[in-house]
Amino acid sequence: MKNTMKNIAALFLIFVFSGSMANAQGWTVPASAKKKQNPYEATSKNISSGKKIYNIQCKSCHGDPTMANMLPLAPVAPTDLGAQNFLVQSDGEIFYKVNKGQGAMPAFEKTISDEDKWMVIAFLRSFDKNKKVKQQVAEVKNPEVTDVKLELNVNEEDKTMLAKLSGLTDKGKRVGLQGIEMSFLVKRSFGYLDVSGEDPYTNETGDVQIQFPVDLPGDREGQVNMLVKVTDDAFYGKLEEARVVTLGVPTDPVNPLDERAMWGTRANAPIWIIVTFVGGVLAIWSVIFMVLFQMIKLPKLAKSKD
Amino acid sequence: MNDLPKQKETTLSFEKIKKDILHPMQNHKGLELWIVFLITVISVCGWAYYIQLKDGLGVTGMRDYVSWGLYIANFVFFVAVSLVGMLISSILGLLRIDWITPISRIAEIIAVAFVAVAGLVIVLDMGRPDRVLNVMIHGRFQSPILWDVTVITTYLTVSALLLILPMIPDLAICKKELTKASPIMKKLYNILSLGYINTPAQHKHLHRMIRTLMVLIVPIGLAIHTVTSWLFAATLRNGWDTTIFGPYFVAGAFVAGSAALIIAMYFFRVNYKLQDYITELQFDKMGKLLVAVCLVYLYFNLNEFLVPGYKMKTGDDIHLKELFYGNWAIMFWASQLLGNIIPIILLVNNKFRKPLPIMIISLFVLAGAWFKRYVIVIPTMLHPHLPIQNVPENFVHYYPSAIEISVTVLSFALVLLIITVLSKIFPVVPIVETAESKGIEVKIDA
Amino acid sequence: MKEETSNHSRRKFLKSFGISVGAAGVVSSFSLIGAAKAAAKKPAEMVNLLTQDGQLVQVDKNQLRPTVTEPLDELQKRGREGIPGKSFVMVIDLSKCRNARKCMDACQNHHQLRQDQHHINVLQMQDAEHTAPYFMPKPCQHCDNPPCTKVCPVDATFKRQDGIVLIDNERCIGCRFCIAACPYSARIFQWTEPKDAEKYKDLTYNIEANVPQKKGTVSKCLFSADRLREDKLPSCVSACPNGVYYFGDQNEDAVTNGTTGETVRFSKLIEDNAGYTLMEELGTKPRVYYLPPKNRAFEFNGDLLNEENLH
Repeated sequence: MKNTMKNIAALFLIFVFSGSMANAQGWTVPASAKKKQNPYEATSKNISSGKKIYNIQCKSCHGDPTMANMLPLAPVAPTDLGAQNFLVQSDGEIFYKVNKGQGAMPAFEKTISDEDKWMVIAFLRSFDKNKKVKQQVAEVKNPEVTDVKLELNVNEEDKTMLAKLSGLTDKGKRVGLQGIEMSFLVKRSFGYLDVSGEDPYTNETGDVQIQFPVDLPGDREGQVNMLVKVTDDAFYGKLEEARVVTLGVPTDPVNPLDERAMWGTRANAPIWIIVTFVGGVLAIWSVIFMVLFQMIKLPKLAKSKD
Repeated sequence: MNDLPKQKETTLSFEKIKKDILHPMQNHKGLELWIVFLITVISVCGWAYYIQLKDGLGVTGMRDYVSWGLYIANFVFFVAVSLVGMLISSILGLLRIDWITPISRIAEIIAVAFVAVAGLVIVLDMGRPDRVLNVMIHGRFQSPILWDVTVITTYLTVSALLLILPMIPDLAICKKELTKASPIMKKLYNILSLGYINTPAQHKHLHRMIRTLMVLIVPIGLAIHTVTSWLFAATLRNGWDTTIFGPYFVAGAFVAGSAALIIAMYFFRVNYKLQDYITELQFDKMGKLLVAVCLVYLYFNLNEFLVPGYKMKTGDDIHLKELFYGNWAIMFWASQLLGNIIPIILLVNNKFRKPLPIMIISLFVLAGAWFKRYVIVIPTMLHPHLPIQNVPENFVHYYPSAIEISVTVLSFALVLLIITVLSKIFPVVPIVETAESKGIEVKIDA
Repeated sequence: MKEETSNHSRRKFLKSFGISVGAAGVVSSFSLIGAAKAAAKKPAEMVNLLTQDGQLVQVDKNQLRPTVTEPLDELQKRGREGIPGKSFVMVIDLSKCRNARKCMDACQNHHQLRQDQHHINVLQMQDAEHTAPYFMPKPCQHCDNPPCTKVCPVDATFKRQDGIVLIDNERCIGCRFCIAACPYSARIFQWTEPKDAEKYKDLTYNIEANVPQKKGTVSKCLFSADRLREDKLPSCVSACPNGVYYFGDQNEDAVTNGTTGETVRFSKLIEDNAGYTLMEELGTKPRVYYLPPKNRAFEFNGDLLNEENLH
């Protein structure tokens, strides 16, 4: 069993990265570690939070699971963690490898909490075709719906946002969709800041309310660009709503050039230094010119005495 | 050279003074050869500068870490020596000390030559000398460089005026006496002498102007050194980040300037046969002055090195260890001992204040002063706050390249050329003032 | 390996170029200037085109539809003004830096620098004899009390309203006072003809990238100000494979990780990780913050700091 796995892994690596040195033998996982089971259930909530952590911590090297778009590092390229030959490992084996690291793979023992690591493993398991434990899809099953709508309600006074996700059943009834994770994102210069908070899942009426951070800066009027979306496109396709809301703290950008400073440009030089320089130069050169001017008198003085 | 004629009881007349001082200006074959030699040196080294201009400052030994090298050390040295003009002819002149009369003009000639070349050296060091006018167009009041450019220009102007104005009576004499002079020179004498015939009104008027300039040059002279020291003290680097740099540089400048003046005095005394004018008295007095300024400088050195050496603060420690017993120890201690401490010990003895010994001692002091500048500039650049890494080996050390040394020779040759030319066209000892100080009646024909 | 990456980016560029040519010929102004000039010069069908990461590619001339190029005056003017309302900051997480040096390579490509010229330099540091060594990427700190701009005699280096300290190589006189004044050794000088000067000589000078580099002038990190204008992260930040860099606008209190794309609160990141600035005792007020090398995910693998490496 173990040998087959190794062979498959080696074949796979050779196939994908011909020329790079595959080294599948490197890992030795103690038997005790292999036995560990994921203590967290494969709920959609856990999978989705695992996905978030994966995207931050793992994706930069391993790429998207099953997409085989990892960094082409040499000599050993990172594995596609959604590939079946990786997922034949036990939860404990993956957990151990994440903790210890090897070669270019960092050890995440201290940098990611155990809970987060199990979430990632739960996420990876969702790609496993031979899952021993069938994934328990969302705790509550939503009815089949069409025309899914995302509505947004902003309360500027107490800085809350309410998103409502609803769909039309085949009976023509609009019902709230529950247990769906939403993302509340604030547009910043180079990306979106996630302000969803701890529990951004829709309740039984399809509602989710979040508290906007009280101290997040907006523009001069306190306006920020919000993007609210269903986190996972897999449920109802891409569903998002962008809106400008006045929930930020009104912030007047400070222009450091408004003040005169020693480090400023000439136009922003401190007054006293301009006065000193110009005054000094004028004073000294006026004396010099005075002396030069007085020298012209010298020839005349010779004549006046004659 | 050693057996100089004994000091005679002089029976000087105005005619003899005129003859003694003016004679070497026109009848000195060696002088012309010397000028030709200097021009040759300048042309050859000018070619080195042309290469630097063409290929960039990469032809020097400077790199990203030691980005100021030999040129800046030279600049500081030239500026330092030039301060002697202010010390001798202005401070001592205002104090009405009379033994300076025969050497004040040499002091001014040195001042003009060194400060003029100092201004040039800064241009030689620039990466884009073609943009030198940007300093005028875009000059920032907050930058010590703008102040430096301004004070150097001003100091050069005032020093030149302090050279020419007291010389007006002498120029009036030159106009009459130097019959063999070329027409151009005659014209120059004619213009510069401003119709001076030594009438009491003219005398009074001229001396009032001279005294005005003497007062004026004191703040400018202090400024040029203080501002030059700010080029270093305005940074946050170990070894430069100190508050006493201004007075420290001024004190050091007095040392370098006095030494340079003594050397120049000796050569003019011997070559121009001016033993009757630049007498042993002047050497003796200059010796005492040199001791005095060396002691002040020693005091500053004590503060500059002992205080941080006592604390050995992070950053300073590496720098000071390198100076005290590291790679820079020889140069550092040589400049301190040979350039300062030993000269003080020797010059306290009056036997060493005779012309030849004091000239030799002054050569050491001047060389020490130059090395001191080198030790001020380069080691600090080699000891930045953050480690020097991921750069080629030649970034971590600094050795001046042949081009750099040639350009340095060029600047020194240029200084000597200016001194030589000025001493060829102008009398190096004031004729009228010497006569007046000896109570001899002066008569200048119209 | 190197070869591979550059091929990769070239491919990527060609792809994006193809798209933009198809759409409206909207390429970044930078490559267009090169294209327009090259097109004007060469009668041949194929023209050399410079990509943003310093690659030369051959493109059919007929495919090019040059849009209006930014003239030097405009580039200089907007370069000196900066981007209104922004206040750029960088956060460098030392616990993640494992000396991959992708930042240095990307930077040298972007700014046309030689291998030994560093706008950003990854240093091996050890603060005291028995403290743990670590890697420290060191860009220009873009100080709010910059010692370098204080001493510049001609306003060639200056601070903009968005906090970036820039150099105008069209004005710099090469006195190197700023190099002496910078306590972080962040500045370099073009001692000789810059790298590939001949190749780039027709490019219009872009003050926000310091390219083409100019002989006899000073050059330094400028947070890739040309990329910021297009809402792109600086070259070094984007190139890091280890998530070391965060970059963003302090006015928005948000920084974005160049590797993961994750955006976090700047103040929280600094607070939670005890962020600090380099040599704060000098009073330079840097805009680059460091997170201490705590809980490192890897072993320090430097050639452990022999004396020479330290100074």
